Amino acid sequence: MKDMNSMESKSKSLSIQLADIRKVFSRGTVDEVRALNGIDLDIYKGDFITVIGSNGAGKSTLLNVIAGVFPPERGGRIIINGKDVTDLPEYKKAAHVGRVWQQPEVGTARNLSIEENLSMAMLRGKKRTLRKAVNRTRRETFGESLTPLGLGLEKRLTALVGTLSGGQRQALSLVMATLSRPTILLLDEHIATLDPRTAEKVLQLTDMVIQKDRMTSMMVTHNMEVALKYGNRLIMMHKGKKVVYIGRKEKKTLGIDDLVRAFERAAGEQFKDDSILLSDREC
Amino acid sequence: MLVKQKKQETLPLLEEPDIDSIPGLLQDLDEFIQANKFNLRNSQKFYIQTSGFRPRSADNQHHRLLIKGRLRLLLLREVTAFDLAGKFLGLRGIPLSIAVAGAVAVIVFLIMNWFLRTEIGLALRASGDNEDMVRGMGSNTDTNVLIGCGLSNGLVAMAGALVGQNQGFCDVGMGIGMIVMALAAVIIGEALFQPKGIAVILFSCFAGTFAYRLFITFALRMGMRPGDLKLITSVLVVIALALPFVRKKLRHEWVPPASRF
Repeated sequence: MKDMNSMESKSKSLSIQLADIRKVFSRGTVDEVRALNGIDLDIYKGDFITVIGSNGAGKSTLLNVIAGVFPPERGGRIIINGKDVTDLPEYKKAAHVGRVWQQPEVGTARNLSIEENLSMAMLRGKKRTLRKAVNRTRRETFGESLTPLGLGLEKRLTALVGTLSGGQRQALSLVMATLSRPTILLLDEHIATLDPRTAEKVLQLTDMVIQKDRMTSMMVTHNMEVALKYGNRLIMMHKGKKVVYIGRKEKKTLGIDDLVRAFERAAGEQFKDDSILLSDREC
Repeated sequence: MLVKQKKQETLPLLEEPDIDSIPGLLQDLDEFIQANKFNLRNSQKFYIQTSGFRPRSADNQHHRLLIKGRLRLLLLREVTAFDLAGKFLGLRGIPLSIAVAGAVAVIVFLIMNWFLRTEIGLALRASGDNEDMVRGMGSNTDTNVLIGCGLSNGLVAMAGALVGQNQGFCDVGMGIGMIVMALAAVIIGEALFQPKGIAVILFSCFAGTFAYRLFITFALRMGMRPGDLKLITSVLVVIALALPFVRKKLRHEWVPPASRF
């Protein structure tokens, strides 16, 4: 009974906490862009959050900040599993963060074989040693991890990744991102460059992988339908702010129309906010 | 005039490179740490690297590059690795050179073949392929670049030591033009074998070196003057670069756009 309780509390425990995340690019120049304007977000274990918003809303910047590609402005804090990791470089944060990029070329190394790519992924956040990168037991693990995709990649372990199609590479990226069981899986519009049918397939694989391990994840997308269909929470971003937040209960009953209306309302208010901000600065 | 001179004096650079103190490895590591720390772009890194080896003035007295404080070091009376190996194998002259060089090549091949398959070696190779991915997988690309440069410069230092012991002297000008030759050798090797796996890639490097030297020897035997060697080298590089594309065109395969280079 006691064990059950602790399990229960664990499954609802906080996984990642973002506090007052801001990001300004080219500060002090005419090109100054306020990509993120104070984002607060609590991500619990097992959450699957979809992030939606127009171009330039700051969705990708948010994921980049979480992954540590660049740090947030001073004052913002990123806490993963209770530890403050705000200023850790990307390669150190990688132990916690699995990522699938928008372009298939970024997530995989084209001149290495499938098994070598997977070996890189397996050692995420671990110390790399002088042991063989690919051995028989690892090869078996790789095969097992690729089989659920149903793409036959497990039979082509020694093939160079450059010979795979975009969809196959993206599916491989997905497996690589989840192989070492990171704290959070970040999907940055990972189906945007694929054709509709492949996109659907990769999306289903994504859902399957996430559901299988109850992986905490965040998915950025342009597509409202996708954002509503998948995940248990939804965030809509506009001009670097979280303008709409939809929790697990509301999400099930929500339609696209509701979402569009919510967005317009929020965006309208947002414009007012901005005009206030601008006049303040000019004073 | 005086001011100008002084300015030049303080202008550059890092520490005095001195091949003799500790071979290439450490010195280059240091340069690269400095370059990487400040996040310089590749061209700038390259400038720092090469400028460190540039003579400060045309005056020979001010060569920055010295071997044991001199421009030339004679090894004729020293006991070299070749002498020792010759005693052991009972060989002399050219067969001895071939035997020692071949043995070293085999050892280097085996070590590299092992190292590039290890976890660290794999991260090193991946860094050359896709830095974003490597950082995303939790490996520090700066460290990997350092390892790669340390390794390659260590090999260069060893090669220099071998050549020096073989010809009986070391000279500060020994390495001039070597990078072009090495590049030519690697490109020729790639064109000949179109390698995919590690072992074949390594082998094609060795084979490319051999082929390059063979071409040069042919050219010299055919009566070309040593002064024309640069022309031969550049023609060879152009042919080797064009070969894969020509082959693809002939087979009606897709030819990647020139931006690949």
